[in-house]
Amino acid sequence: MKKNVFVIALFLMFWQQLSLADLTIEISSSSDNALPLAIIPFDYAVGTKQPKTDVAKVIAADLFSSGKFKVLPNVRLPSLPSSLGDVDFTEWRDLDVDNMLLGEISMSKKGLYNIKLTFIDLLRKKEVISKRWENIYENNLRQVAHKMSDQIYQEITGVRGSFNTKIAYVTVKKVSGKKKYSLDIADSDGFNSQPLLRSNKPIMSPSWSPDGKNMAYVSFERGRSEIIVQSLNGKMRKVVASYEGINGSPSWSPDSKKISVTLSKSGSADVYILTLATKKLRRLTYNFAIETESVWAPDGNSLFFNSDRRGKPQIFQVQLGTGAIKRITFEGAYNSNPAISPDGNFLAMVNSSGHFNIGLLDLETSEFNIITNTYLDESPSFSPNGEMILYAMNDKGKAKLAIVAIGNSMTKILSTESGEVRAPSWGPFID
Amino acid sequence: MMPFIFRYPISSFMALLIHVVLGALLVMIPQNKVEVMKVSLVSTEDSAEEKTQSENKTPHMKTFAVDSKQIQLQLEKIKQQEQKKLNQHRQLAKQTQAEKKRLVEIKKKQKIEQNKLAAEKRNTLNLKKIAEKAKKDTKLAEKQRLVAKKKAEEAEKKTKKLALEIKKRDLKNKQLATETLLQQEMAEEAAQERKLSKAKDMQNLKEVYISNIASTVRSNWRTVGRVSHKAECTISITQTPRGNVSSVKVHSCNRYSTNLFKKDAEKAVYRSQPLPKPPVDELFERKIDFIFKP
Repeated sequence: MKKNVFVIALFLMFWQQLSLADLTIEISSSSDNALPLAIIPFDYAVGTKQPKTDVAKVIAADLFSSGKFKVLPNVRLPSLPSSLGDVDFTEWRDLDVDNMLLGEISMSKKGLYNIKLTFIDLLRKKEVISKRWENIYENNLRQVAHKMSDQIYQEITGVRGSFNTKIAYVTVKKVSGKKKYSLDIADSDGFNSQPLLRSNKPIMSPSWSPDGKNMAYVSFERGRSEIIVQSLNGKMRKVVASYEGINGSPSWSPDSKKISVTLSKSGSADVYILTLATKKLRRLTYNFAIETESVWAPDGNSLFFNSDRRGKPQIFQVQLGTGAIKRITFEGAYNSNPAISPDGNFLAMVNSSGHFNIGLLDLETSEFNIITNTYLDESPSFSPNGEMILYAMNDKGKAKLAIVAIGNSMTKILSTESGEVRAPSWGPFID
Repeated sequence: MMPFIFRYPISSFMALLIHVVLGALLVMIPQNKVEVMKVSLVSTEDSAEEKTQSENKTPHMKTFAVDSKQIQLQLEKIKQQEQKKLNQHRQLAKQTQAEKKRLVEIKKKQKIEQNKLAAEKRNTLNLKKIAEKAKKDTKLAEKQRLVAKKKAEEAEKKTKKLALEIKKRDLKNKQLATETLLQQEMAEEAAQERKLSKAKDMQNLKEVYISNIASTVRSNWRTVGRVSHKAECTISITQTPRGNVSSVKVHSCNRYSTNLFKKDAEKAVYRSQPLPKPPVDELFERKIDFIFKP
């Protein structure tokens, strides 16, 4: 697919302003094993201007999309307590509700928002999270909501939430018959999207630096593939690889100092490591077959990559210390697009035995599972907490993004009204 | 009867035969004996009579006519002959006397013999009679003995039965006594045991009670986090008599138990409210400890 895009891209030279649009969200499946949760409509102090963002709704959507919570509809709430002292625990136990979220929003003296959120454990009858945010701009209310979602997620699952994170992806729109490309960055729920780069030429394979400061991607803006590293604050942008032939599939080392790339300067596509500070190149694979789509193991000692040296693409692992190469995937005839979980225990990839779906391989037990049921899935990317996978898929001929919660198959689909979305990459935690 | 005969013809015939033979024997055996003895006696008597008759026969005398001289002579001769005859006669008489004497002697002897024999016979008869009598007596005695025996036996039986009954009764009484004693003992023991077994039962019931609580908690276990199936902790619950939880402590955990596991275990306890009641009120424990595995 990338090769096709590459060929088509050569003929597209236009630059045009693309209209900004958030991704729309659609939940495609639900989970049975979810914890019931009550979110009481927030209490707005007198004189508070109703913000555009409904914080309660954002939190509800976050938690629901994780597949680990089911939020009680407002019409079913038996009462609307405003504090722990108001809660009649029996009526909530009768509803089998374990947790409750209370919120108070008021205006600060500066005309900004003050928010107080309380998360109550109805079983243990205590406040388990109590947070205050002061002087928040209206535009940042979603981020506050995501932060609270992260807190709740951690309280309930023991794992840090990754709602308050960013995702990068490429949108393609047809404007006057010409394809317009944009590398966008959005919140993990697809809102607050912002373009990092717009191009008439294809943009491919965006990759977040683990420190969250830079993005590496492939751009054809100068008529050929080049690897570009760009800072997210917009202050730095440079071409780091522009060799003859293919320059593709950049992936950051865990320390954010190197990127692995696919180069075909020596004939066939092979995996190289580029040290950014010195521009020193180290070749990792020497094979006439195609070696590409490399990703770093979290410990930085090895890389996983895709090779068709056995005929059809399979995932291999190369040890940086010894150069030893080992085949990793054996399930199905086709395995490509490897992604490694943040803890290094799981490998996600595009697996095919006819259908292209995201497969998940437990590297310790070798247990393998297909975790998506969408169509023509590609480019999996783990959330920083390892609990979800963002990937591209095809819905009725249109490329969209989807987020699947590992373990319960809860799937959220992100799409633009016009155009297609592909090549997603989930950014790191924002501290 | 007839069906029996038809059914067992051979056996019936044999039975009949045996009866006939036995009957014949009973009739014949004693008669024969008597006859034989009689015969022998008769024959002995007969022969003795015959001998006597033949000994008692006397010879007939002859008379003749003769001349003087001749007659003399003849007389002489006759005289002589007479003499001779006389002599002969005398002799004969003598002889006859002797013979007679001898005969008498013999007769005497015979008589003696006879007497002897008779005596013997009498004796034998007597003996026989005695024997018979004895036999009869014996039989009678036997019969009597049998009757006596039977009686004795019956008596004995009766006695025995009585004894047995007594014994039985005794035994029964004894048993009853023993039983009563046993029952008493048992009752005492049971009481003792009841105390023990009640303690034991209570212990068992208590175990059931606690395992009820544990399984209720387990059924209320819920987690959306990643928890090792090897995780294991001890849960200590303090509850009110109505089964409401006043406090939960999750402790003594193995290394697979994360903080999330401990938290969710605690929640499972609260979710289980009210906790199952004890099967017996007195088993209620304010503090319950159990090992929890999801």
